[in-house]
Amino acid sequence: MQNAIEVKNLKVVFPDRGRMIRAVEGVDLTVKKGECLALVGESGCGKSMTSLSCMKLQPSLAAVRLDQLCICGEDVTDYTDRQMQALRGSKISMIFQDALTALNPVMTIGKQMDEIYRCHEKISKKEAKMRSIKALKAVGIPDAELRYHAFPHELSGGMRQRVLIAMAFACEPEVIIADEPTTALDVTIQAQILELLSKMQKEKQTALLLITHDLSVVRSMADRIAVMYSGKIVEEAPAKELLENPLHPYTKGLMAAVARLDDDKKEFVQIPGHLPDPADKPAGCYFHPRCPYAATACKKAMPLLTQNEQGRKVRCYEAGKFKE
Amino acid sequence: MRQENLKNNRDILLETRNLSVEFPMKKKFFFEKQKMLSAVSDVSIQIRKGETFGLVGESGCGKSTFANATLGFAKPRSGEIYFNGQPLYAEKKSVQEARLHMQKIFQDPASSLNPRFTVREAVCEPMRIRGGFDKNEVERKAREMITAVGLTGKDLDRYTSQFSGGQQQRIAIARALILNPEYIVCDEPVSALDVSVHAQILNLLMEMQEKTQTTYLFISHNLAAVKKLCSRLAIMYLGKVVEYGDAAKIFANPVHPYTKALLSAVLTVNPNEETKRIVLKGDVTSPINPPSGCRFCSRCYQAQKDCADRECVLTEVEPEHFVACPVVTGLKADIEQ
Repeated sequence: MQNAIEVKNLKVVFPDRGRMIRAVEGVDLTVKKGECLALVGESGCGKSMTSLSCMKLQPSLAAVRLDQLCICGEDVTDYTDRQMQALRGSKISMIFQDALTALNPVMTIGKQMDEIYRCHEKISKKEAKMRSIKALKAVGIPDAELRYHAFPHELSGGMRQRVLIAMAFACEPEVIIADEPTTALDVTIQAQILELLSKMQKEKQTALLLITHDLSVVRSMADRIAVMYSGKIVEEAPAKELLENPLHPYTKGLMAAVARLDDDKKEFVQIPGHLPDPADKPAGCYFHPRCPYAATACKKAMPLLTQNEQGRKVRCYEAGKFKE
Repeated sequence: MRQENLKNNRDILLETRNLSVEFPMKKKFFFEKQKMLSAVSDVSIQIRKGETFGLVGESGCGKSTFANATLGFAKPRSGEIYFNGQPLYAEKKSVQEARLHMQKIFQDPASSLNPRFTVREAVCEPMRIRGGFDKNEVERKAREMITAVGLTGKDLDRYTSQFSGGQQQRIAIARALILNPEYIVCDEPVSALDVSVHAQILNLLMEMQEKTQTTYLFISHNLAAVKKLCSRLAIMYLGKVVEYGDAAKIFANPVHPYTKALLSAVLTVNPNEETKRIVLKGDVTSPINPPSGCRFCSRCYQAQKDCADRECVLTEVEPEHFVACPVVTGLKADIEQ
């Protein structure tokens, strides 16, 4: 089967105050067609940089090295910016976290939507307007004809996120990258937006790369989950298996950190410490200073992302050995 | 009479009576009728000394405005606030005096801390403004505070912008606690942070409360966090309190449809748990000229025809548990009969 996104050995480095920051260190990712892959990690772990590099949208200072990048079977490793521009929007598109900054504040949302259609397909203004309104209706915006003329600031946060989703799905791309699509929203609106996103994804059979720091968001949506820590993928598995039986201590910590209603403990479960300084990462496994199961081997060399007998990929010497 | 009552009731730190806050809207034409945005309407709650009082609701429901009113930042249109038994807005001076015992922890530490301040400057600023401390005392207290929140004395000379979000929030907490306030408003203290850092900050807040016996007003939209932290809580929708009372009772037996929807929106990581999510339709209704009756009726899944006109008053469904929904409370009464 053809893959929607295939990245091999992605490395991103950029300078910051005279130091070199290794944001991403050799990440391999594949998103199959029609699948939803969730990339989970704390802020600063390089997950956004990974997603931006997949679209070749990384900041100009960042140096990106990769062995191969395929989008929908097309090898785009050496594509120029202009060649990429033709793909963005039509084959691969993106939903950003903060809709207010992603939308142009001085343009009506209708105009911004028309632009996508007019860029990628040769259609008249009138037809573009018709299709924009149809797309707005599809994401559940009431009075789409009226909202077409509204400016972004006139809509509520949830509405703006809906507009972004409509824009991402506009040209029926094969892959969509959603970078923390619900982080800026309230819980009830978050539920609405997640429902909409998974409905649209199933209807159109779009592949989705969902980026988030909250494992609870992922649970209902993802087919597979990849957990990232300090620039490296530490665990990758089908969603259900990973959540039922996390092998890496970091995944375990992330799951425990989600506050639950049925939990009767007096304190919140926390992962001690914080993410290492990206310019000064510890020797050995990057997670060992925070890891409750760290052994001497962990302090010496970085473990490899290995596959165990059950076909689970995990980067840990002690994987599966520790118990509750 | 009322004043005397309050003086006797020593364990109440803050009380609001029929508090309403309104903001005038910008007029489009000169002769247009002045529209009012009703941010908080008719809220009467009591916050007891030493407790953590939870205030839950979506953005735009007036929870921050309510908190600001209790801090003396938003003048109420009607109603009264009593802090330590004294009316807060009686004179200009009374607000200033009360504020000596109040502090606030903001949502986004990156924007509430000055990036050009060192940690020392940020933490000592409240003492400098209050005045009357000598240099050594300030330094000693700053060190004491910064180690109490889990940073080291070395960090005092670094700039606040050099820290990660979680550490910045720790600095903000140190800064809020340095003058030993009686009352702290925590305005969504973790919602700008990563899920993995939430637990650290919330544990720290609980730990500091044990040490200092401070009263928290904890604002949040995450009910799972509120459940562990708060002893009592109020759930707000569009400026009105819809459910109020003892936290354990509300979580054990949520009555108002909005509370139920909020509880069902809490996501879990357990892969085998079935989700019966109540997805509310539509957005929060506009608070400009809201309906006279129930403000939730346009999104409610249990709404009846006359809900928009029926008056909603907080009624007691069990001791220490009040609900403002005539449909649900009325139904309950029928069943009991």
